[in-house]
Formats: sequence, structure tokens, C-alpha cells
Amino acid sequence: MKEPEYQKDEPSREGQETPAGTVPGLPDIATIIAEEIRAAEGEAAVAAAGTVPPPEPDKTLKKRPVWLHLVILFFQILFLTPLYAAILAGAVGAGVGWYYFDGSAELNLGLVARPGIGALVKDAKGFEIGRAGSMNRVLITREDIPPHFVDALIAAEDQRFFVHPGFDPVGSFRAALANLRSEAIKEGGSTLTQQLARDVYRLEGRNIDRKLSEIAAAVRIEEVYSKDEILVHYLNRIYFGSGFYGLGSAARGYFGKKASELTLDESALICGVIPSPSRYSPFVSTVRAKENRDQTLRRMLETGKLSAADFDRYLAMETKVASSREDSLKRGQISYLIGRIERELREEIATWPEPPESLDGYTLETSVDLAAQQETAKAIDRHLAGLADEAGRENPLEAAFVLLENATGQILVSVGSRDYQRSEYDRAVEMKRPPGSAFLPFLYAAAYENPPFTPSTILLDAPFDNREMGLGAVGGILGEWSTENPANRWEGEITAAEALTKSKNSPSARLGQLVGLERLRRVARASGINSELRGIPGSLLGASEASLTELTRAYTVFANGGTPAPAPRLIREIRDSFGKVVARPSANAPARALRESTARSVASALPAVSAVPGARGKSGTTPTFTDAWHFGFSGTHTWGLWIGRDRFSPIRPLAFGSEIAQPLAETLAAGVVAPGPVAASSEP
Amino acid sequence: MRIFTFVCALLLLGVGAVSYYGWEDRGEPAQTLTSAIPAFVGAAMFLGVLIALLLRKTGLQIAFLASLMGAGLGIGRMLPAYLKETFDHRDPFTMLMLAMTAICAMHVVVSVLRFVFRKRPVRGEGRQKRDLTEVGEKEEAAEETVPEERSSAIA
Repeated sequence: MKEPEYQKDEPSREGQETPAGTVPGLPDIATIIAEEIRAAEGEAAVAAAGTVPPPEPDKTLKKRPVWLHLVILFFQILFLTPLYAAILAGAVGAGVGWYYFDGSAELNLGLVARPGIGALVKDAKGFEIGRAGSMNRVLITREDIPPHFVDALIAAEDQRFFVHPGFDPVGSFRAALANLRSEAIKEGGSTLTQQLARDVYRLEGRNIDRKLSEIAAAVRIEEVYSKDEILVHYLNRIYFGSGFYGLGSAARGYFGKKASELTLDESALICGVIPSPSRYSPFVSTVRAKENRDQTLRRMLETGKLSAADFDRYLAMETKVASSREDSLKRGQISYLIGRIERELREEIATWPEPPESLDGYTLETSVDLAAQQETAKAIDRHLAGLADEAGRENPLEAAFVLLENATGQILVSVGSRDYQRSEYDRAVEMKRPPGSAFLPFLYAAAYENPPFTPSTILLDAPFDNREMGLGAVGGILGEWSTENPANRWEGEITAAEALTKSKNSPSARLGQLVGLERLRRVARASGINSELRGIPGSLLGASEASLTELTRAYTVFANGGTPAPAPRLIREIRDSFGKVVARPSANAPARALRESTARSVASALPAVSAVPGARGKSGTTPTFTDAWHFGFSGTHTWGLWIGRDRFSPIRPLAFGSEIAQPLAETLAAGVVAPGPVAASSEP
Repeated sequence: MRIFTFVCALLLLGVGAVSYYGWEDRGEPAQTLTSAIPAFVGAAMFLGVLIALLLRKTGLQIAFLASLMGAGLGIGRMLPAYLKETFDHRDPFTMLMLAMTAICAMHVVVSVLRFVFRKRPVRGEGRQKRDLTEVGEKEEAAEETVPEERSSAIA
């Protein structure tokens, strides 16, 4: 049946004759263009004439009423605007995707398949510590991955892994919906490929820019690698907590077996660690690890990878991790050291004009004494266990210890956590706490640098209005406080040297008011304390926070006769694969911070350290007994120890640094430091 | 409108060609298909022009959608750099993007204006309508022809 004319979209130029050479019924483009040009010329001619002849009114025509015209226009706008707005928004989104996809064109996709063997790290005595850049991985192949591990991983992390192109809008939507329902971030929308991209290209931070870069990189990875290859590279790379990178390393560390020997419940437990390795590691919390294992099993049941009977059986099963406390401490210290060395290495390489693409085959010689490091970690753990901690596991006692060479600033021992496999927070470097009375030597140094103050200056040890210092002491009353020792006595007039030796707060506060915060700031900064002293009176008595490492370095100013050690570091030498030294990282030699006489005066006023002949030291306690410190120095080394809790609460009532920290610090230092007098400790 | 769309399409094809073949001059590591996106938008508009020869309304709608998407793509392509404060209007590729966005935006604006300010048709109009309608507006008027009336007019 012939289609009626009116049902066609617009038949163009009806009634016109078809020019020769054109398809009947189809208009000739040349004709149409010519017509349009003629029309435009006609308009121009009319405009030039200045008059527009009014059209002849046609009586047969009825105009559409204005109101109808407006109603039609309104509905057109009402329906078309959102449609076009949605198309425009989609196009803008696609444009943003285009930006990130173009940006990912320069990514080296070969890196995905090269976890690398990294650089060999040796300690000061030539013993192998591990490998930097490879994270001590035990590489696996596709054949080493048990099928039930793949099932558990896919169920827990990325259920559409085998079908999506690197990113999964469906999975992301589902995760967002689940998070909305539970009003918490319970599921992440990242696919395994996105997680791999994040790890390979170090796409850190949680923002939209990072997420879009991650998606673009994931799409690129999927273009080059098969799903199986992606799976293997993912499992060789990602972090499974407690210092274990890669499945091979995690299987060995948690269960003492190869990846291929893992059972289903062990696989589920390892997969459960992935979302937050430092929290869900079974070494950190067996309860949380089990909860996550059960969650993985539940998802396997939901996705049909586990029967109901098996689910019940595995749910009732206890998954035991195979690790002794000593092993855990040892492994933890190695992971900690490697992590710190890698950070230092990155900083060093950033200064090279032509950094190498890989450090495979390189050797890093460090100043660390691995045996001393391990012994120190064990001794700290024993000491803290012996303090009868009442706060329990939620806020356990922690400690950090640093020991470095006075002349070079090279670190021999650095323990940042009581047990690195439980807590990866580096309290030696990252944590900043008020040093309390351990800060007094810098106050006295600032005073001696500015006449007329000398060690013989007479100061008054008498009640002092605590409110002037703003220190919240718990043991004192208005006009006194009792943090310097358990049985404080007012001694009246005493010399500055005596006040420092006895760590007297009242005369120190009076001296501090005379010296002023600005002079103290200058001395602290010159000594290597980069953390800013807060502008409060309490800063005179050590209420401003600083890190253990920077305070320990600052103490070298007294051991070195007024000049602090260079910035503390671990790496001594970097050799390439041919054994050639390519770098000897060293910090700039610092300028003199104090006059030699000042350094001598302060050093000689500090109490002697009995365990290390010739050494001197100073303890510190904060007014609320939340932090206990001890710093000491001999002619060759300086050390510092901190004990406290991550969340601010007292270590225990009347926990003085001289009782809690000093004995341990002395023992630790005695194990490493050879006896010898402090070079600048001759009597003033 | 068809000529204007045709010119825009040609310009976009030109921008796309410069973008695609000028990758070395821009110092880019490789030739990428995405750099030819302006040409794809131009091609879609050109297709719209071709369709408009037969089905005017449909063809111009396609061209409008293509230019709307082209404008959106261009804005989206430049937006992250602008937000990250790395936007450099002197960068050759950015200039090409600006050109694509400007051409498409201009086409969108002109199309919308033509739609909003077009002459309204009148009822009962037949073949005479063509004569009454001002030159240059006749296609719009034809779009609004009531089918029955058109049928009778043709008959």
C-alpha cells in the first residue's frame, strides 16, 4: 500500500520537477543551496530597500491564539530542557573522562608486570635486612593460586571482575547503595584492576581526581593484560597487612605455608584483610579478622561459590594463624626498617638529576644495627609487659626508641612501635608529644647564651603560681606542682646549674620568664627541633610537641660541643648492580647552635647515666603523666626513649620518666654504646 | 540553517583533522583516536545536514544534538585542567578544544534562537503558506503543517 504523503517527515519541494540526473523524489542539494542563497539575497534586497511590503492578509487563515502558542512553548521547554540538560551533562561527563583517559596515555603499563626484586638492604655489619622496593614479596604464578581463593577474592572484592572493562558502574552503584543503606562506608566501588592501578601508579588520596585517574589507568591495564594476568599481578602486589606484600608473603607469614596450600577458610581470612590491612590483620585483631573472614564466606554463599552446608561448617571453624610473638616482633622490625629506608630512598632519588627506572640489583648500605634493633624491640616489649598495663588492648602502652651517632646523625637503632605487626604508626618520627621537663636543657642553654645568665645565676625555688605557666599538673596545688620528682621540696635560693640537675620546675619557670620564648625558640630551632614552639608560657617548660627523633638529634648539641648532628638518616651508601657507589646521602653540616661553653655547662649539669660510664642524660615527664621520656648521650652516641599511649591517658599514677623510661633507656643504650666520656663534658 | 550547520560541520572536521594529524607538533607521544573527536562531532553534524535534505526536522535535530554534545565534550575536556589550575589557553590542544567548544556552542545558540523566534504557522494554511511566509522562514513553516492539510494541499 502506498504511504500517504502526510505520513512522511517533510517531503521536500513537493510538486517540483525532478532535475535531470537526480533520484526521483530526492531533492538536489545544489538546488536547495541555490534556493537558500536566493532567499538570503532576497532578504538582503528587502532590507536594502528599507521597506517590507506587508503581506496580503488571507481571509481564509486563522492565526493561532497567543495563549495557545505560549502553552505549547511552555510544554516544549518543560519537556525538552531536562532532556537536553541531561544530554549536555552526559557530554560534559564524557569530556571529563576524555581528559583522564588522555592523561593516562603516558602511563608505563609494563610496570604492572614488574613488581621488581628491589634493592638489597644491608645493615651496618653487612647482614641482609631485606629488599627495598620489592616489599619482600614472594612472587606467585597463576598456578599457585587455589581456585577457592579466586572465588573468595571475587566474592569479597569484585564480583563482576571477569566481565567489566576495568571499572564497574554497576558495582559502584551497588556499593554506593549499600553504603547509603548502612549509613557508613562499608563497600568500596573499586574493582581489582582499579586497586592494581592505584598500587602500581601510587594513586594515593581519596578524591574525585584520584578516582578518575584510577579508572582511566584501569581501563588502560585491561586493554593490555588478560584477566588472569591482572589477577596474578594484583595478588603479587597488594598489601595484606602486618608487613606482608603479595599473597605468597601473606600465606607464609600468617599461616607458614605456600599460597597453593591455603585452605578455604584461610583464603577467606586473607581476603577479608584487603579492605583495611593495618586494622584487619589477624596479628592486630583476631576478632576483626574473623568478622571479615565470615563476611567473605557470606558473600561466597550469596554468589553461589559455597553451599549452605559448607558455609555453616566454615563459619564454625576457627582459623589459626601460625606465628610466635618473637617471630612477629622480628618480622615487624624488618618491615618497619624497610619502610623507613624506602621513604628515605625516595627522598634521596628525588634529588638525582636522572633517577633510574628501577633499583633492581642495587645495594643499600645502612647504619642500622639489625641485631641491636631486634634486641631493643624485644626488651621494650618485655619492659612494657612488666608495667602491669591496666588500660587493656584498646589503648595499650607503646614506646619508641632512637639511637644515633653524634658525629654523623646516622641511626643505629630506631624502634617506632612496640609491635609493628600490630601497629604501623611510627612513633619515632611521625608522633609529636610534649617532652615536659626533658626540654629544660634547651631552656638553660638559651639562658646561658644570653648574659647575664650563667650556671651560677641564683634562682628561687619557692612556690610559684602555676596559672602563670598554664600547666595542668595533677599532683600540685596553686603555687606548686610535683612533677619533677615524687617528693618535691622547696630549696630556696639555688644556682641555675643545681636547678637543672634536680630538674626543678619552679626556678626553671622563673628563669624562663626572664629568658623569654623567642630566645628559646632560636636555640631549639638551631639545635634541630623543627616543630614550632607554641606561643604559650608552658612551652618554656616543654609543653610544645616535638618528635622523638628531632629531640634526640637536638640532644647531640650537648654531646658535640654546641653543634647538632646532621639530620638523622639510615642510608649510608647506594651502590649500583656493578658495586659502584652512586650516592652517599648526607645532610648538610649544620651550623653551630650554641657556644661550646654553653654546651659544656649544660652537659655537665645533667645527671650521669649509670649504665653507660661517662654518659649523661635527662628524663622528662608531662604534668598529666601521659608521656615519660629519657634522653642520654655519650661521647659517640645519643639516644631517646618515649613511653606512653596513643590516646592521651596517663601511663599510670605518678609515672615519672626517671622511673618508667630511664632504666629501660639506659639498658638499651648500654647494649649498643661503648663506654666513653662525653667530649664536651669537662667541668665548666 | 542547513548552510550554517554545513559550515560548522566543515570547521569541526578541520579542527579534528588538525588535532589528529598534528600530534607530533604538539609533542605528544602517540597519535590517539580521541584527538579526532572534533572531527567525529563534525561528521555527525554533516550527517545531520545530509538527512536534513530529505527530512529537514530530523536532520537538524541530529545536528543540534551533535553540537550540544560537542560543546559538552569540549567543556568537560577542559574542566579538570581548569579546576586543577593547570589550564593553559596557549597550549595547542587547548586551543583546538576551545575552537571545537566555540563552534558547537555557537551552533547550539543559533539553533535555539531559531527555534524560539521562529515564525509561528497559521491554521488552515495550504500551499499559499509558502508564498505568505517570508523568505528564509519557509522551512520552519512547513514543519508545522498539519498532516491532513498538507495532504490536501499536495492533492
